[in-house]
Amino acid sequence: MAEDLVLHEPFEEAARQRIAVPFGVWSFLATECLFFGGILLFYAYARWHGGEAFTQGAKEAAVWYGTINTAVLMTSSLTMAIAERATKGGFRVVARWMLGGTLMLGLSFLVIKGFEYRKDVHEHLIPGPGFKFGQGPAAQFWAFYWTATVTHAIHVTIGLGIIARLLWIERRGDLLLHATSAQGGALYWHLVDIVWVVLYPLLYLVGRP
Amino acid sequence: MNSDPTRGGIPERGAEPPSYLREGTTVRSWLTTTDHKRIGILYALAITFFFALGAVAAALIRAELVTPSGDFLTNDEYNQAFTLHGIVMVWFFLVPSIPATLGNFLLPMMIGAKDVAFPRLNLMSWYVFMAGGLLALFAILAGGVDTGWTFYTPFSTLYSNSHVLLAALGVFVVGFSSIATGVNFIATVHLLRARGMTWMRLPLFVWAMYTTSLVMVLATPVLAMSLLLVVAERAFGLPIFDPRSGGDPLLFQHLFWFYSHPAVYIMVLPAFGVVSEIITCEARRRIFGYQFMVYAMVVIAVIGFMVWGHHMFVSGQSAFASMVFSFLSFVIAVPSAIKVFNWTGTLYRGQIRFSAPMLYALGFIGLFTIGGLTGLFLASVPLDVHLTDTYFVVAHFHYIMVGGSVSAFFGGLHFWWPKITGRLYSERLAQFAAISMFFGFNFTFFPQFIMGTMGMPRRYHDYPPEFQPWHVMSSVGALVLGFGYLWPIFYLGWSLFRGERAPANPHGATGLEWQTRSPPPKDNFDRLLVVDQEPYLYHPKESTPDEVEQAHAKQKP
Amino acid sequence: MTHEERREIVLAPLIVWAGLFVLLGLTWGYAYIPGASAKVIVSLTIALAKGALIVAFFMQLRRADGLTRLAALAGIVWASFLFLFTFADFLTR
Ligand SMILES: [Cu+2]
Repeated sequence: MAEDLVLHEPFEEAARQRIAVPFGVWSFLATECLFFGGILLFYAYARWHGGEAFTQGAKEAAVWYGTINTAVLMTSSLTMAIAERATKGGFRVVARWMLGGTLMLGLSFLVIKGFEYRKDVHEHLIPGPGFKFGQGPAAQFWAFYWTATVTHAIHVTIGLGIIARLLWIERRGDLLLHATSAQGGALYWHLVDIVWVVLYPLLYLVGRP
Repeated sequence: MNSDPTRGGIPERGAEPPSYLREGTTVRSWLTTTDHKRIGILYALAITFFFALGAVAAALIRAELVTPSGDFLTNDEYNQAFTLHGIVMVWFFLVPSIPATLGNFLLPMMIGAKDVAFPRLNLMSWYVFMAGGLLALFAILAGGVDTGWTFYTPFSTLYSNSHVLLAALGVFVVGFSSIATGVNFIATVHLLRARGMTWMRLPLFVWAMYTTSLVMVLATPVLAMSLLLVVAERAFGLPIFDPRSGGDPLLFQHLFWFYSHPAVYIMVLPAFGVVSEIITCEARRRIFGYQFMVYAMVVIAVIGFMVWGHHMFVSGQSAFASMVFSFLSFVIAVPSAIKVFNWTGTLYRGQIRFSAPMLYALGFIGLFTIGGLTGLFLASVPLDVHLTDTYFVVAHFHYIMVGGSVSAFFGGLHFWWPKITGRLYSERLAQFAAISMFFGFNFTFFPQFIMGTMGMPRRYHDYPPEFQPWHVMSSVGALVLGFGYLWPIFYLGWSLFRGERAPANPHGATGLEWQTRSPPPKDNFDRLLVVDQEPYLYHPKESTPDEVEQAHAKQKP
Repeated sequence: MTHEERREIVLAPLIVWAGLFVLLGLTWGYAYIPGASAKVIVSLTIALAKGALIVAFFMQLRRADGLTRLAALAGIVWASFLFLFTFADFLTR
């Protein structure tokens, strides 16, 4: 295990600094939990209140796109997990390839999402004038769909930025000294995955078949 | 420890020892600093600007209300003035006031650390704050917002013709600076305490910062989401709270108050911390019931999340929910009362110095008590039905937030001014400021309780003439209060350039921050610290009779 | 890479990943069984199980110190306050 960590300013012991990043990131993830908690509360209300009409709207969601994207994102979580462990273990090459893989999978997620959005737009699934269902709980489902998925996609994009930065650090040659950064980035990426895993049944599995 | 060898022995200029202020004096060195002390000062400058902006809006409101007819501002302008006042004062002044300035400066020093756990994140939080501030400013310059600081739907999303989006985005952005500060403080307290600084040896200010940070971290994201949903509905027409699609505007209120009630504690918990530091030092007493003070803050921080529905008693919320929220709101008064009781207990048989910080702190206790007790009126459902949206509510929360938090902020500013700047200010002039602020405040807001019970609604600039005497009283009081705020600029400004050099520990206080030079060196301390005693040892334990030796006294029936 | 390291770095995550895919198949399949009961509960339970796998193994909360676990837990507990009290209103109107 790489013990030669770069000691940052306020810390006098490596042991405490090593706790600091995961603790800081986990605290931030707790805020993400409450952030998405807010929109899930809206979903819970709309589904409870909207009943059958809500389900009717949800049936239009493109389950194939959603399922494939779930698989893609879960796999990216796998590559990220391996990258993080390889960094900690001192295996640069593995770490580099796995980070690259995560980046590619994350990008594919966004591309697939883009195709799905195109299909949604074609089928008039944006609430407002020309919306397939008119006013009602179905419109609420789609309001949730757009707000939640766009917010999630923004998180994916930020995650990709973090991964790109890690790759850049790797190119510079000192990724192994930044094991805590890799750990923080990985934690964030896994959270983005979890959010999607929770959204998946809420968006795509309502009222099937 | 109280006799300081450096007192009076420091030469004027020239041989000044190195301090954090001397580590680069260019603007660039300030804008790229990761020193928590400098970031505290950057925040102080920023919030002073926003405080002035919010104060101008308040002045406009009070000027308009002198006469019963709306002759100075139009309806729209009045709406914009109180919205601007609310948004700016809550998010750009009160929430960051004590934590981001005094907290940033003092928290690491009080626990014997070199800096906060994530110094670069700390600097970033300031830039995020400024970005949010610019967005809000831009909203004001573009023509203002008229929703009130609460952004209630459906008005904010479907009907308002003002710049709601910009303002909401500004508040959304500034929330992230709160979160960053909160995460940073929590990690700092957990990981960077000096050797021997156990949890029960932490100064109460540190506990206050810690509990405040918990609230910031756990409440702010929900505000972010509620504003995001407002943006989604307003900008993209997505029906979220829109009743025509089955949405419930009360859902917005639930989300909003899930943050905004705890936000009151973000504003007042830091004040608790400041007041505890000042009172112990200026009464030369150990704090009465240290552990109860700590638990009270922790309980307030947690229960504070379960009372938000008291803002919704007349909104159509279910009677059951109102009952639960009302009950919990009464419960949370208990720890607040414990704190007031313990501060009073600390004063008992103390050697009280009525210095300026102490006057502010004593003012805090009185005003906070009035604010807290009137809060109980509002927590009771039947009374609240009568008082909702009247000036009684306005007076109540100003007693907590201005009478309480702002008094404490000014008290803390004076108390630590010598440490921060290395200069002393004129005690006499400062006492005058503290007293005028106290009286000005009461003249402004006490009449509002009375008009509130008589039925004067808030947010109207056109009112029946029988309320005029009260409004005139209030506006005249605001002049005095304004003087109380402006006056310190002169003597503190003068002290900055001409003030006598401050010794390391001018008040003879016990905190670690006083055990280093004034102003402190860049790394805060010249030596490694080891803590081996509890805080506030202002008098030896056995020096007073048992009944005064409160914390350890045997209970007598 | 020693055998031990390979197990730690590659194999362990792979097993978790396989578990995630099995769960994905389950939740997808169950949603398509006509007339199956408690679909909402099943799909949410599976989502939570997937989340738990990611949290415990990928994010290594299983091995984290108590402090970090507390931070993780706080988010869930506080979000439950939000749901609990809001629905205390909605369900009793
Ligand atoms: Cu409240």
